[in-house]
Amino acid sequence: MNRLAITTGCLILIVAYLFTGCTVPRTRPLAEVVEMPTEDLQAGRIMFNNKCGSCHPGGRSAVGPSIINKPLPKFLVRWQIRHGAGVMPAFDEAVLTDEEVAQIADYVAYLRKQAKRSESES
Amino acid sequence: MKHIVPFSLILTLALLLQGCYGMLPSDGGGQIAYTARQRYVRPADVWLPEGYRIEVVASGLTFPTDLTFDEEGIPHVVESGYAYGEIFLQPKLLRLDPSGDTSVIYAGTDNGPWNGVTFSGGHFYIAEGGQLRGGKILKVGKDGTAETLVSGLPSYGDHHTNGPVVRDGYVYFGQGTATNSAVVGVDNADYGWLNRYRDFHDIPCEDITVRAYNYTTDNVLTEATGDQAVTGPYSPYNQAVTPGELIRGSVPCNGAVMRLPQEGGALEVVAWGLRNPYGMAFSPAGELFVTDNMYDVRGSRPLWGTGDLLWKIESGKWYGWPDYYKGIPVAALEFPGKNKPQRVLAQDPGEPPRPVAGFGVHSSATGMDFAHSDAFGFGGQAFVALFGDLAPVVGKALSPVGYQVVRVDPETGIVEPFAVNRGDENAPASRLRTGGLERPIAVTFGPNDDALYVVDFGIVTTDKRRGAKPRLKTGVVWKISKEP
Repeated sequence: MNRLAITTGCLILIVAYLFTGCTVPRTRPLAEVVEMPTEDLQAGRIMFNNKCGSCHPGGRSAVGPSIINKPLPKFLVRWQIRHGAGVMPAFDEAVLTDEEVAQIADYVAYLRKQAKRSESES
Repeated sequence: MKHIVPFSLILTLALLLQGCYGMLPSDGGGQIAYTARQRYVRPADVWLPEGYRIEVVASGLTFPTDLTFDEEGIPHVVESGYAYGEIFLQPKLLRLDPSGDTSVIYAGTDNGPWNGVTFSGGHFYIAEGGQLRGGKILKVGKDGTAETLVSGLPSYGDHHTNGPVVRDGYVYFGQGTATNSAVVGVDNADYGWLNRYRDFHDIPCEDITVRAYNYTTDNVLTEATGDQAVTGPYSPYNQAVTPGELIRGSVPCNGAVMRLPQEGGALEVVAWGLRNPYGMAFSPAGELFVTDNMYDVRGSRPLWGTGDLLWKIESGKWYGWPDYYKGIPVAALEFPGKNKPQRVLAQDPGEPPRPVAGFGVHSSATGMDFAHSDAFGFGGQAFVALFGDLAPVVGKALSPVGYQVVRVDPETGIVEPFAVNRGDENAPASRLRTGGLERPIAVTFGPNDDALYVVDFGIVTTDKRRGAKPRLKTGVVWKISKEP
């Protein structure tokens, strides 16, 4: 790994991360009945609804920004859940286990794919 | 190992720049310049799951809030007669004819809002909000004769008398709180009522003791400059509390579900510690569920980031207002750029339960009903109308929130859109410039459970200076059916 590659990678991450707080891009709404393909995703969906849905209903922008219209890597989603940032509170181990955090990150990635598919279809 | 340093720098920088939330303006769904004279309605602009269709049953209504069916299956709707923005009109119970025409069954005075209606045993039961003379439960015959089952409900404040539903000979109804979070403040003068009822405040259902945490504001009830008001929780404006002060509970009370016999009689508290229990429905298993509009970012004790909730009501339970949210102490909640809110109760009256489900912050979860069978699909799930945000009056929304009908699986708490406007963003039709949903406020299944009727309050625009501006004759009743 050379230094240039690391720096470039870091810059991409910074831009992606900052987009979570400083812009409010919209996401198309959907009324589609979706069966989760795995039990883990279903668990992530339930956890997301209970812990994240107030500010990001359906992953979309509301009081918080949309989190399904940007290429956030899963590790950054997990980091943000654990540590919070800006106005988002941190969710510690007493609230969410590591497994649950991972399930939420997987569900957010799944939602992002669904939103992208819907955008391309419409 | 050498990656740790640059990664830490990235995260530090990111954290520093995340403060931009405070700089972003509110952009709620009502924050538009609306000038159209007439509301445009087009069912094709509403997105539904595959296999469902939507049509318009009635339009041109003024502030419709609920719908019920009589024993012949004829739909009847109530027009509120009051809306935020201090609009006082005559509330009405209207029969909806198949042609879309309406006829008045019964009209009230200027004591709206009429927030709900249900039909049982040959009579309509109406929740009269009572902004001017206190809340009431009215019992109205099909011939228009009316009697008052209970009056003097504490509805002069921010929230009113809601519901009702009838079960096993009892009329159940919700009574909202006087204030946002138990302290009368400047926001209540902005709402209009503090100037009318200077001594009005929240009344607990049982005796409580409060901590001596008082709130100082400009005194909005005097002309003198520099005059300040010091107000304690559960107290009239400009009346402080002392440490451990006892506040007497009484019935009727605020933030509660209460009930009384269908034929009239003594009032009973079913549950309390709610904020604004608005929508009510019994599940197929016979359990009572209510939607509860949670705290706003306004007044002397603002709370941030609290989405509306769906509760399963257990008799005798205290649900946590004004010191809890979702069963979590509000003192643990973050408030960007501000101190955390202080608790006001010296002792909790009970252990607050966890909700069944949560909705978006400021989404205004209002009317609800259950699919009692599979005739419509999603049997056993709750359908909830999300009226939509009133930002910036109630707080900031980065994007419109609500403005749709959602379905909730009470087993998992999963909330999914059911009827939502097509478009590039989630928003009311007036903002999208389409003919879809505006502000759904009630949902009711038809007599055979095969169609869902959606009451759409109509257009309400908002701005910080003038508050809410509702538009007359923009209310609609929609009908959603399964395609054959």
